[in-house]
Amino acid sequence: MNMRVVLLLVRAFFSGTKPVKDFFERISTSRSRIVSILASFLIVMVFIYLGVILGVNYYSYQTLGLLLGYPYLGLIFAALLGFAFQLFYSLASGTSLLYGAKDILLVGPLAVRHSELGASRLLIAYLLQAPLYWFVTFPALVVGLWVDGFSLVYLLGGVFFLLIGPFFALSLSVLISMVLVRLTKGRNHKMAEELFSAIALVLLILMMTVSLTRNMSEDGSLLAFNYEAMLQAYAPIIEKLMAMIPLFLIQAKMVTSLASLLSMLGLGLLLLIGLVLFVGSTYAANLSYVLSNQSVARTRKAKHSLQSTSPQWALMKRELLIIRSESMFVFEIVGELGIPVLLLVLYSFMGILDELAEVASQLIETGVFLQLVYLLLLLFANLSMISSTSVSRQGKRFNLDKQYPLDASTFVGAKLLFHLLLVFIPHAIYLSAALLLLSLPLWHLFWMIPLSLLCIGMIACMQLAIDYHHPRLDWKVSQQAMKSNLNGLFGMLAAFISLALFALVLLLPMLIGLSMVLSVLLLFGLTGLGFFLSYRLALNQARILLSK
Amino acid sequence: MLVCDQITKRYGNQPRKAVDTLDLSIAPGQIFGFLGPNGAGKSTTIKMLTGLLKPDSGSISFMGYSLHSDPLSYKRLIGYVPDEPLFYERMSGYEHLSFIADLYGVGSVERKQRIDELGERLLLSHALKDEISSYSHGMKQKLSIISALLPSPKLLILDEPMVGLDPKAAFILKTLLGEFAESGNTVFFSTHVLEVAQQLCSSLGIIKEGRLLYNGTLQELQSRTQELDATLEALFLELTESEE
Repeated sequence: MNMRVVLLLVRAFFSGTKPVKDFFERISTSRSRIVSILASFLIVMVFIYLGVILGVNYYSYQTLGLLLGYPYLGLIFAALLGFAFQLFYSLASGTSLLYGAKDILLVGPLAVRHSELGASRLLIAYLLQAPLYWFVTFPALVVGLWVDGFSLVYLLGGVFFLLIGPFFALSLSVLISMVLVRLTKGRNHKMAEELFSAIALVLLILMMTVSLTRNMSEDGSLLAFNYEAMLQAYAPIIEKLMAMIPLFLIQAKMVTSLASLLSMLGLGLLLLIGLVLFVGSTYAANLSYVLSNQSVARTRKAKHSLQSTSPQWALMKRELLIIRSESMFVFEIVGELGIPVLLLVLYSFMGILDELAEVASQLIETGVFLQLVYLLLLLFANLSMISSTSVSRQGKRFNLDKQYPLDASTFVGAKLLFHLLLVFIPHAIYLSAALLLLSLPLWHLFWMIPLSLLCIGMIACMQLAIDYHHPRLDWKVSQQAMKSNLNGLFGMLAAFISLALFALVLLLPMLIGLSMVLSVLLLFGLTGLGFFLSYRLALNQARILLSK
Repeated sequence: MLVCDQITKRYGNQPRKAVDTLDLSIAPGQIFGFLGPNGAGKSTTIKMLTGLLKPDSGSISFMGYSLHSDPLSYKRLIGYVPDEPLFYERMSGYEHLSFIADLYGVGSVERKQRIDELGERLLLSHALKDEISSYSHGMKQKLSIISALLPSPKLLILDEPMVGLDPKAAFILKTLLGEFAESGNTVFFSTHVLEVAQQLCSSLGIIKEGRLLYNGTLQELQSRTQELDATLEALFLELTESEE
């Protein structure tokens, strides 16, 4: 294997895709300077916030570890978390990056050995995944430094902790990908991988959030934790866990023990050599399996219906087809729609439902419990990116819309109806189930459901207006159209502000003594007007874009 | 000599083989036109010839180098122009060509000379400094042809190379292919434009449903069917339809 060729392939990948430059260009392209600065600021703030949250969490575990006899528990926890995050993230794209990426068709026929091609894909995967691992684990190293102070061994150990750490999850995900390719003879299992990865990542994030909020002491200070409760709850689990994860224990010890550092270096090197040899020797066969099955997928026959429908219905079906065309779209939307169910499952697993029931019983006495439940479910329904990225999802195919002999109202109407179908119906089901389960009077559904329809419709129109105003149509990777599309963020912001105002009016009876009937009537009037205005706005933006 | 010996490929559990025991021998100096209706197995064959797909059985070799046992030596001798030009789009034309030259070990002086010469001939010199993402389909096709020819291969494999080229560029390409073959090199190309095949190819292969229906020159085909004035188009339709 020629390392020069491997490095050449890796360099070509990054200089030919420019992921970092592309990210910053996405933020600034054809937006006003203020919006670009605001967006960059928001992104930086989100990263800092997440970093602080992680750091605080690690601090609590580091301190807990001192009580339990594991002085680097925060670092162990970070190594475990970094491993899990990277593994779940890489499972979604592992097979595709190794064997299915489009650029493999470019470099595959060139004068490179399969072992070199395999090694270059491994290195690319490492470089793409390592930043996530570093982001998750770096705060733990900072916490460790803060608690114990600086030393040369800590610095050296810390650097190798970050460099070697990503190998473990990478090795496992590559192994899983290779076994799957072999077992299925390259059949397309991208959907299953992404589904598992998306669910696992969401659960992991929710578990972390729950863990942090549960452990905080009641005085509200960021670094004050209820260690007594933590000891009681976690000590037996931690003892068992430590016996199961010796690898992360040694990895955490790298920052203090030279022996651990050397043994991890040896292990990392062995793993690297084994992985390169294994991937290299099986690369040609696996690539052929995957490429063979790409052709099979293309020849699969679709079911056709020739029954005539209205243009609006046809456009709604097209919306569904666009979503189904990219697995990323499917999981993003299914994830957004299933958050209440996901939370319920997680809370029941973690035993938090009892605590929530206790909180609920206290809230019932305040007299606004019903409104709070309603607002919470409305929040879940509206914090989505279904409409705020709907035009962007069409990508370059949006130009076809300009050729169809249809008015902008048909397009907006179809997108709005599609949104209501996806969001309003599950919301109505969740709402009915919530009232039933919480023994709240069901007759409230008579005003809640129509009001939800107006509210969801109003916010969907606002989000459509945002996306029609400045859609991201030139995407190459589906993530750019949805997950990393700033319109989604702006759409959520618009939804959040609208819902804050909605909540203010709904809670007026409690705040100024207005009767409940009057506040609901006022809401009907305001939301109805908001719906009308936002629909006009969406229509106007659609007309402008379609006539450009 | 390019030799395909009994190569067979089946996709997944599909009942029909995409390519069925294909035998081909193409001598140096030949321009071989690989023709067939859609879904006949042309692209699968080309993917096997370029090493992207492994045949289920059979072997491929060029100038005595086996694709299976010595893939690197084999690949060093071939240049490939895919039907859909693929690039790292954030590179400039020069960066891409330099990457190819680095991979094939083309020295600085030689690469500059070859890039200048091919860029001029294919009328792309003016755009080589630009990012590939700004290229039209035709420009990408030209760049793909330049990068295939840059390492001075002995065998050029082209999949529908005329698609997207303007008439002048198509004419230049035909001239280039002619010169390439005259220097003792081999051209293997698939096309649906039968006029081009008739004008350019010294030998033909017609494939349908994975099986090679004909392999030889146009004159031999005309003699065999006793239609000495028939065009390749007429003979192709006759041959492929009579097999249904």
